[in-house]
Amino acid sequence: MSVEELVSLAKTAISARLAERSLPVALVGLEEQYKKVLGLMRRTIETGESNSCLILGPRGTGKTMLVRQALKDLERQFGTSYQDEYGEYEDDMDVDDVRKDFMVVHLNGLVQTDDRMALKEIMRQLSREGESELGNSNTSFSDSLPSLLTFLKAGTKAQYPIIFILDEFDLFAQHTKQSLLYNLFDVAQSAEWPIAVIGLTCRMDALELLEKRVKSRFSHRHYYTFPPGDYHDYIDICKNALLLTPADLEIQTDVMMVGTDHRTAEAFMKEFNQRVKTLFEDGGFSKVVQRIFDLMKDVRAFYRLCFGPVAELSKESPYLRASQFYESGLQQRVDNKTELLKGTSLLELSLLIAIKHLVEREVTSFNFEMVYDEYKDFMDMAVVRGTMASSASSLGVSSGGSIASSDGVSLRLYKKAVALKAFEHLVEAELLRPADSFSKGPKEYRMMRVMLDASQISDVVLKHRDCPTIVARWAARRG
Amino acid sequence: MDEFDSLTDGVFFVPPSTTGKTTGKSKTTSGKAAQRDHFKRDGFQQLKDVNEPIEAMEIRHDLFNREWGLMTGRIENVMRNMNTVVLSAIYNFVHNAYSRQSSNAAMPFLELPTGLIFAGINVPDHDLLFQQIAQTISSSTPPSSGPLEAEDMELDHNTTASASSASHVVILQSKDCTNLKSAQKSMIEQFLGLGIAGATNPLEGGTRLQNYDMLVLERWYQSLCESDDGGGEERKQPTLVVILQDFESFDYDTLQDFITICSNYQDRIPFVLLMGLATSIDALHQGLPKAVLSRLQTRKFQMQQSSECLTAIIEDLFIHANVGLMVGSLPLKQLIDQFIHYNFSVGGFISNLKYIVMHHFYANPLSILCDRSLTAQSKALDLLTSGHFDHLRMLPSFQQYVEGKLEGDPQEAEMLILDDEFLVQQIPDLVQGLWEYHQNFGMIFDFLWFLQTRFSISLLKKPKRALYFMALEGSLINSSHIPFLQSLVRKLDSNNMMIFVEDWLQLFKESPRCVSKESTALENAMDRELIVVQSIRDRMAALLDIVSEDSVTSSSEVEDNGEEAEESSKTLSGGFVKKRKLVSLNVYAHETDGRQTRIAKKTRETTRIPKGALGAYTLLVKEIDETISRLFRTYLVCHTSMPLNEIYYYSQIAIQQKAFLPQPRASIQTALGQPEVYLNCDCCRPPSGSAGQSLADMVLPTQHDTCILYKLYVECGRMINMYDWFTAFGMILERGEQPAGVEEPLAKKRAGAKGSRAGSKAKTKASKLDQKEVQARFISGVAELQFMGFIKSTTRKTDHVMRLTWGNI
Amino acid sequence: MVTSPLQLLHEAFPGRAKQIDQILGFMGKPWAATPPSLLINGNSSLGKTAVLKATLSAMLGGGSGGGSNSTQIQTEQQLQELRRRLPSRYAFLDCVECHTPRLIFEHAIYQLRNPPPSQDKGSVVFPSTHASTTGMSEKKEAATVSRKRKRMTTSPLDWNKCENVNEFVEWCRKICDTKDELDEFHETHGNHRAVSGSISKHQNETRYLVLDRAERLRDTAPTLISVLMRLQELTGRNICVILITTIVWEKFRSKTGGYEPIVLNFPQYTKSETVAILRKDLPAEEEEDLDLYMRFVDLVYDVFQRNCKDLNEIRHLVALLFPLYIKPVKEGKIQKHEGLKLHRHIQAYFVEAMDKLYLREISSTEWSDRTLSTASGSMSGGSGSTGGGGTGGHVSTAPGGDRALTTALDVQNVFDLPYYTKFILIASFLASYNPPRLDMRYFAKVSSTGSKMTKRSKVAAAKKHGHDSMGSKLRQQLLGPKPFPIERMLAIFYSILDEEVEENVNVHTQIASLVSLRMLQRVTPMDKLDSIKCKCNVSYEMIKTLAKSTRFEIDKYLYDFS
Repeated sequence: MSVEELVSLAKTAISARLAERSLPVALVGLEEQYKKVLGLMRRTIETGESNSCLILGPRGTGKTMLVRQALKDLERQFGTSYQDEYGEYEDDMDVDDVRKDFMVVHLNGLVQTDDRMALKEIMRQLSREGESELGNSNTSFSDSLPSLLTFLKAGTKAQYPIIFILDEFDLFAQHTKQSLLYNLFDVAQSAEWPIAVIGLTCRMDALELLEKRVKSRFSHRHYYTFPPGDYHDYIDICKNALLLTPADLEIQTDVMMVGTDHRTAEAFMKEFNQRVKTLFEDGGFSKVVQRIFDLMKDVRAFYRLCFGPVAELSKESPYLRASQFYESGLQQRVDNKTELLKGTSLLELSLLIAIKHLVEREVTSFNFEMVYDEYKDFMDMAVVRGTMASSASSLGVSSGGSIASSDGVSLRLYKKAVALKAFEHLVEAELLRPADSFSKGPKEYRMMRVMLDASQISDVVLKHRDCPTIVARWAARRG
Repeated sequence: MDEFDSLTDGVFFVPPSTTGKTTGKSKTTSGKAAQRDHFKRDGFQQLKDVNEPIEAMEIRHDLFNREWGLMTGRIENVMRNMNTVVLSAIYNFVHNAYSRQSSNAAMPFLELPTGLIFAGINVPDHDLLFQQIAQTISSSTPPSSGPLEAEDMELDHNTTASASSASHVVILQSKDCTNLKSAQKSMIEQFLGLGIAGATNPLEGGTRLQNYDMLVLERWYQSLCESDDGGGEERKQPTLVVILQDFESFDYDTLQDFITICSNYQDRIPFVLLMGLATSIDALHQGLPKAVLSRLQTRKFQMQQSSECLTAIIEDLFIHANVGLMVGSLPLKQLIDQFIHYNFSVGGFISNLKYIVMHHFYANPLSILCDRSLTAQSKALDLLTSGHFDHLRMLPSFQQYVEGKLEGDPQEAEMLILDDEFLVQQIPDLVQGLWEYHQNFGMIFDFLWFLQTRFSISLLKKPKRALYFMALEGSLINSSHIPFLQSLVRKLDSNNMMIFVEDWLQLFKESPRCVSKESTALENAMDRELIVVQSIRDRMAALLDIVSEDSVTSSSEVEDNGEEAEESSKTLSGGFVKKRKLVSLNVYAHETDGRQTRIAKKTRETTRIPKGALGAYTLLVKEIDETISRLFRTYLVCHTSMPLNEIYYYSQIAIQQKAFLPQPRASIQTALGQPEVYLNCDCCRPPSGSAGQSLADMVLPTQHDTCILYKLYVECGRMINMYDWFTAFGMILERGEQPAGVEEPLAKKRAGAKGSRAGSKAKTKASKLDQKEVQARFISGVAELQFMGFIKSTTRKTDHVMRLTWGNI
Repeated sequence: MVTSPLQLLHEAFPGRAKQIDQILGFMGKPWAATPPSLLINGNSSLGKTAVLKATLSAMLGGGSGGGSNSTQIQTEQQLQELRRRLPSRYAFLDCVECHTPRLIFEHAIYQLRNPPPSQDKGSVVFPSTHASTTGMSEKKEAATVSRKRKRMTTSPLDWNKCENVNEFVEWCRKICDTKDELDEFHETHGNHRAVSGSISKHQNETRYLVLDRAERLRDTAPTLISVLMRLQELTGRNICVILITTIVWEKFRSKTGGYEPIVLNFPQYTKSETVAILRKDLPAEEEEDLDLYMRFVDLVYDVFQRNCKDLNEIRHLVALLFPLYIKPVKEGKIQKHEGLKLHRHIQAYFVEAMDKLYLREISSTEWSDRTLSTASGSMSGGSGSTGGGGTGGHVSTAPGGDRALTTALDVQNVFDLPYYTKFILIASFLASYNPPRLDMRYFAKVSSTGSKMTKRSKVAAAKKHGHDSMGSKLRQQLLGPKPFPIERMLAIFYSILDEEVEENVNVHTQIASLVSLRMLQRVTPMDKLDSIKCKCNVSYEMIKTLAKSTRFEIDKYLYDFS
């Protein structure tokens, strides 16, 4: 098969991994938790004992991934072909008699924002899992909860175990009366129908959110996931994301595949992985990674970094190159605020400087009139100085209030209305925020606070493309 | 009860339905009948003092209806004419908004066409105005307007299609656009309501759509296009016009989003916005941020300023005397002041005027004569009773007239006074004379105006209103204004003088008085004047001919030659136009640097006009001058000099003021401050000792409790301690109770008076009054004050009340 | 071989090639896995919306050309044909328009279940669609409507109710799972080898959900953001959410955090890029004086770019000023090559424009009317824009600028008020800006020396405030109006009126109407009837003009003003 296709395959595979659509090839640093969770589920399925546990950990430390991996393996073990919510398919789905040994219900606090919805969702998923007696009970919460409960409570150990995955667990705790959690835990505790309730949350205080009655029914199992502790783990995770596996390139018993293709594919893979390895040797690259690691230890940060370069893979450049990562690294790192600020006009800039001066005088909240007044003071002064300094103002535009600063840039004192528009622009860009809650009345007098600190402002002034020296000096001046 | 949910009107007048259904069954049928025709003739009643017959009353009623009908008709007419220009401009703007070629505006990106309509600050009048605009736009033909006719035509020629497709209009008012949802909702609903034909099918599919979803509108619009497009050329698509009537009172954030959405949909739905701005464009900038502003392609439309409207109305109604009943100086002043001082409301003016007319015909028995088409054989004259005659003879103007007669022919004067028959015969002539006067007055007034406009003098240029008002007062003739104008005329040099005379002649020729002879059978004063002017003009022309002939060599300016040549060839047309410009320039020069130019002119004249001619010329100028002043003096005399003018001029203001300048607060304060004004009891007079100070600023125990409390209250500060107040009150009552031997009789009288009063002080014979009563009276008084909104209870300070009025008024 | 859409896009958007490539890269093959969420940010009028719209419609809308690696054309055309017919792959929502979650959901679903909007906009008519002003030239607009019309006639609106996130997620799954000819097309046609890959075996094409002005989301549905960010994970389908906004991502973050989007920043245009864009704005009929135009553009850029980064503003200016610039040339007064003369000729207008920057006081139509009218020499210009005349405008200072321009530029900023109303306004201004304790001194009628001592006090105050640095910024003048009780204002009103006027109802009605005109602002709630408080919203300048018109020297009565 042609290089182009191979590349496109590789692209799809890797970006799928980066987008966390497909699971990583290996769990790094989570083996412990993985074993525990897996064991817990397995016990539910095999011995039908009900369980509940909580997986806590900061974002992007693989809670969800952990669970998914576990489920996947369980399915492999119990030979169930099961399409999980994550659109992830088993490759070997040539099992013709589909016998389910357990069911999985995925809930997410973000989506099921109240118990009604949650219940509907449960119904839907269960019924999709083929429980006909529940399939047509898409009724209101009031009577569907009992029906669910009776359905659950009526069950015996012989029933199919159900595994509830509650993502964003803390949000469920905010539902009224936490009745869903209560009931689930209740079922789990009174061991009738074998269920496992697994909550995932990034809030370490998730437990404190639970009401007493709920908490009492919860088996206080926690598992914590942490961002990769040391740099090597991190590197490994990253590498795994980028390395190609045979599966990615369908290098397996594909009947219609010709041997040559096979070989080219393998060659390509070897080459590609080799490149990746060298990539990680590359100094600049590892500097980038190191930086990310030091900053947040977040794998996703690195993934984000990778999207660009991976997307750029093509027939012409089939392999990842370090240089790509430099710039994409830069791009992700760039502070967009200063980017935005680069786009400010001179007028806006001078307004900002005026604000800076105000702030330095402990006038923390100000309105347009004050700023304009400050700006005006400066301009008057500048005009006075400018008129004696500048003999010929640079551009013809300089008339009336406009003066030519030393470097031939003509400043001019703008009318209030114009300045006000500029001020509004700053507000729109949310560099300024209204100090008080919404108040009618003229905009000029609306009290504002600035969202930058003085250093940032002066920084902008330095960065600014064409800022006349007078203004720069003004910005530098203290008080 | 829909007509009562208006928030702006304070009072609703509900006449019992003329079928007499509402008047309770207790009434007898006759009573019903009486009431019915009572309402049939708008409550007109026979005036007893002149014991006038019922016919007379009916005549008054009819006259009233006729007069008022005439007035309203004319007023509406004026208003319409004043705005046609703008209306047609708006019309064209809307209809060419989307069929405009790039020749007009080569903008890189499409902006939302937006008309800013500056409609003046008087918001209540706006409803009608915007209704008018809406009609104009949605009608398929542009408003027929004099000046813009030509332009309309050519505009419609290139965009016939757009003109043919009427555009749909909705009017959004701030009160039903409190948030974005409601704004969109009301807009969409109004639009769909418009196209009932197409309204159903977009909704049938989109029942599940929320009613503020723009998609509804979009689909409706498409269905609209499908329904009405015969030939599929694109310019046929109707535009949707959204009128934001009161921009200032909209919630600005809502407005921003609304506009943004509209301009987003602009590629699918051709929107046009019309914003009614009461104040100025600043409101726009205050309201909308740059992002939104830059999406608008504004165009400003200046509605006629209401003061102009007022002047126009006054001129049309009164100066040119197109209506029967005129308004005297005082009421007019009152009308105008009301307008100028408080609200530029033409509506207010009109209602005020109506009130005047009503009152005149309702209360004045002589108003049966107030009929411009009064002839010897008209019915009104027969109905006159002796009472009428007395009234007539009592009219000051009539007496004046008679006195005037006295030395002329005494016996006629005598007959006027004694013989009713004779008087009756006289009346029509007198009336006619009055109308004559009006006509002439109007014309000469125009001439005066013509004079003033002719000289572009910025300083002491008087508006028409003011001039007319002076005329009414009678102060116009000997005001310094006229001599000043004359002096300007005198300063003209020969050419301009010539031009001036020509124009003058034109003016007279064109004026209806001279053109339409049938206006009055008997020969017309104005014709005589016309002849005079004519003669002057001819002689002037002749004189200048001579000059031109022999000053060919001498005259320095070629231009002058040209002019004179033309003048000598007596063409009134063409040549003058550019010279008129000259005139104004010259005169301007005059009053800027008066002296030296005058001297210069002198010298020029001497050079130009030979000795002989000079004398004649100056004479001519002199004559012109005299003619002018004569005209003014004869025809601009005050109406009060005319006999019977009282019948035709409404001249009282008291009732009007009561009706239109009520002063509730003042009256309340008088009532509390000096109650004796209202309940004129003799008991409250200053004690013997205090002769100096007035009754107003002293507290007398004899006064009503509330008054006493009020007077104490006035002394107090922002917070009033109830207890102090109470004790003070008690003290005063005490003071009232000490029976000082000296004023024993007074005390008795007081007791009597008190007995006659509200009864609050009924049992005061006991020299010592008990605290309970004082307390009770105190409480009741305080309650009343609170009820009247002078105080209110406050939590800020215990046992204090807060004072609500400011300062010690 | 048709020019590939890529080239079209690139030349349609000067200076945006890099961004376009990046976006395309992220999109990858129609069925490829994409990053869950993108965030495109950058200042206003940098072509964010336009670029994205164009790209999407070109790639997925069956606009002009299909996948980036097109070789066989007939399949391409087939593909396009399908794309036009089949449900759109992307939904483009404006968060201002969709101001409730429900609106967002339903519009998204609707767009994703119906064919994409017709293609005239986007890549083809570039300049019109630049930045948020999605305009387009006349014919295009008409064409669109007509085309849309056809579409609508065929299809009755099938609208799907969707109230909450749960249903929305369900819908997304459903939509993504509907496998239509396109997907089969991919499997059968050209690149089926790739398609038979494991990952993408059951993969349908990626759906895109674009949210413009995403900053509004924080108000409409704060929780929604985190949902959208991980919509891909939640649905488990190929769906990619793209946010377009002018503010930085930091301001979107919720406290619990969430999935972070990939940030794609649109940098400012460089000069050459700007010029290239402006080059496109030159109307076709004036192609002959292109060089002149370019010179002019250069000039404008140099003059304005420092003070006005907003591209649209500059384009606006160019469009407005260019006719004036070439007028003398057209009239033969100045030769084309005499740049300096032209420059001098245009300067006055530049100054004018500088003063009115951003204000759009004078709109393009009026402007063009004016230029026409000046060209024809007659001031009337036919436009009835100033209906009865009577504009009491302020004198605008245009050094050398011809009258036509200036007269039109001063829209009537002053407008007439009834006589007493003026005084009411003045009184309320005084009441809002003067401390009540000074009322006695200023307004007590008895003290005829009031004005003198106030002057002194004013001077003193100025001295007191002038020096200490921050006090000067806390003057009432700068702090804005204070609320005042109506009673006080009335007291002032009666005292500053020179003639005696007794209070009557009209005064109060005038107060009411002033409130409705937003000149006064009522701070106490409407239902509170006693001790009403108001603020005066009118600017000092306006009050000054009012005072002048009534010959009332306001400065004597104002405390600590400059």
